[in-house]
Amino acid sequence: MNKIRRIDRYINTLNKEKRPLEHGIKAYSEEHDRLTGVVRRVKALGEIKYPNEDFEKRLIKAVTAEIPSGNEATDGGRIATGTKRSNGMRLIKSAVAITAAAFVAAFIMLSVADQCSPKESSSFVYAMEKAMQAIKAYHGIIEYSEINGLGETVLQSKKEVWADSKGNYYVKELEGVSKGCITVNNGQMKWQIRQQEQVAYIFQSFPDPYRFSFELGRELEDVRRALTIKEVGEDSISGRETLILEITPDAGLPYRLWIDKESKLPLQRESAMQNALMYKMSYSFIEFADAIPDELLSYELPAGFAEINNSQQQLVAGIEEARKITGIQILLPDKIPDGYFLDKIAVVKSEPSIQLYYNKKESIAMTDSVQGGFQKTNPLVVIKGSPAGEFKPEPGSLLGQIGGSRAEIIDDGLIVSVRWQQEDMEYTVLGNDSMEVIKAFIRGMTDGELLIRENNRQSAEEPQIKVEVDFEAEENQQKNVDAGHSPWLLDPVYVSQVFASLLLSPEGITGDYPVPYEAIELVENDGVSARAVIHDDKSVARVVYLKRLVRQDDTGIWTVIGYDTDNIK
Amino acid sequence: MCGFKKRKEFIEELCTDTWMELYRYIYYKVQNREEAQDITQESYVKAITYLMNNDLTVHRIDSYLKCIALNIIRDRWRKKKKNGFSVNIDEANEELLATEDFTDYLAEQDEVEKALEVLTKDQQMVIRLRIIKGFSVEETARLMNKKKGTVRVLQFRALKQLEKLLARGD
Repeated sequence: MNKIRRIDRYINTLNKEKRPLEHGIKAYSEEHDRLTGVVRRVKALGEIKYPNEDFEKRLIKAVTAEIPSGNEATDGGRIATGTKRSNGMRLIKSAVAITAAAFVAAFIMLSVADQCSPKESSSFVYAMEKAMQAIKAYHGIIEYSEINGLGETVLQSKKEVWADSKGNYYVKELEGVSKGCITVNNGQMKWQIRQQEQVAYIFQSFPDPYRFSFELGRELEDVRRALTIKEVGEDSISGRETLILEITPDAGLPYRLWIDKESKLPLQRESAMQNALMYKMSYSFIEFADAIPDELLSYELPAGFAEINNSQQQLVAGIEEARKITGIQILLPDKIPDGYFLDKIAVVKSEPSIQLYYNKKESIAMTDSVQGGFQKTNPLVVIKGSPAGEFKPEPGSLLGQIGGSRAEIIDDGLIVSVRWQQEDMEYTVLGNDSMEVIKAFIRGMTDGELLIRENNRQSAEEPQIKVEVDFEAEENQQKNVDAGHSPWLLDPVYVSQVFASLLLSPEGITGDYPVPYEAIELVENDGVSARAVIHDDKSVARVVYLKRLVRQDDTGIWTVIGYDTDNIK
Repeated sequence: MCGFKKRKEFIEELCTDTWMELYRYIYYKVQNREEAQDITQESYVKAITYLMNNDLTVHRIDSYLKCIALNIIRDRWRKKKKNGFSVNIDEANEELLATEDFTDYLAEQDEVEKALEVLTKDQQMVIRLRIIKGFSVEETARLMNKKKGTVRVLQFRALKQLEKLLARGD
């Protein structure tokens, strides 16, 4: 193998996140060693690839197992009695405490740096995570304001909020168009009491697309995903000393976050100025508590109010009752992941469907909370219903396979949902948990394994005709989309439609697109590469190949990289 | 039993509090997940075993773990040359190791970025697509409208050029 191919293979191995042979197994030339060093230095400009979520657990288990077994009973005893040998262990343990504080201190130390690297950004995140771990619930007043180009501030709304680590919340509108409106989710049900209409609306507790803006858990998630974090100054908010951070999100324009120096939590957020307007969200008051007061999480219809139940679900006593009401003959899953239990069963007669709500045992919920989330403890829901027509995945969803059937996978950053049809039934498993947990529930439901094509894998199919791509033009398109323009570029079906239509009308399109949107079927989508089949005889392109070239996540635009003129291969 | 439980709790606490920072440090050195996970685990085993068998004062556990990790990386990578060496754990400059990644990293990033800017447009593109973005040779060739062989040669020359530029900066 020549030196050019050898360095190429080294890059490929690192790109696959695997250990190259050069790292301790095989030696080549000194020149090769120097070049691999350059490769690593360049690659360090990219993102750190973290292990799977269960790494910490596996690590603890493996380290505990690997420490020489002869020490298990004896050394442990020495620690307790304080003999010389245990000295080191004691010192290191106290050092852990120092180190934990040092990590938080690093947060302050980093603030003197001008521009933070991804690694240093992680320390900001770590400091915020640590701070969140200590909180069981919080109560605050948030003001939402608009600032125009002249610097004039107009208060849009003001809310009193309560939120806890179980995902429950209470929001009361104090100022603004919805003044008096109260929205509550107590994990069992969600309701909204609208004073002006004298109506109480009831909704399903989960999934819950609405929470409230500037929720601390959500801010932490945003900071976690940020591309860069830059410290730009200091300020005082409601008498509290804060650091001002400029955050470049993974999508969109940079925004500023004011972090309380003492609690390490965000107190204010300001968007970038766009079209001579910017938006500010600020906690004018915040306190921490053990729990949200019970009376705020208890539903009671106010006197004289009408009740509108938007939740068509009906709780039932057991699976037998659910079967009788819906006519769906299902069995409860044989196996569910450790740490979960069946919390409740509900039915929706009109669909009909059966909904199995699972919840986490306390121990697991605590672990989630430690991982820094105020949103990660929601129950996971499994819905099982009869199919409504032909299975059509949502445009833009990832595609996988379960037991030979196509599966639609949607991950909006908060909730993961997997839907598929099998044996005259339609299944949906959704939850705000890891994909591993979702997969484990799928196995329990059907004995089938969810197969997802590896991201960015080279498609087995090559287009007959390749389309030349101008990468710089694509980067500019991505910037436009980030600024809120041309959102259709995020939809691979729409991009295929425009491409196929322009092949028919290269001079431009007036009126309807000659190739209808409905004629396009996405047959492959792993989030980075996609393939769409066009079921329209007049279309020149029969199969369109797409790729997310600039950014490989939900915010990345799709680009056509080739097409076939023959029918599906 | 009580002692074992304490030891287990200690390992749990140590790993939980420190693994992420240690992993980041190792990943930065090795640039792949498989090896970073492996060395993270080995670092804890070595660190704890060493502490059990030596009367040692550790002021900064994060630096101590990084020092062990660095030794493991050096030992592994130099085995092939039968020329293993190690940092003396007892004498390692913990303060230096603790601040290394925060202070040097910025300068390092800046240096590499500046070196990249000196390359030709095609060389920059191939390095960004292949190494930073992680595209395959086939995809890079398609994006740059070049043959796969051309991409490999371009990539090699770009790395050689970068090596010279970075050596000059050292």
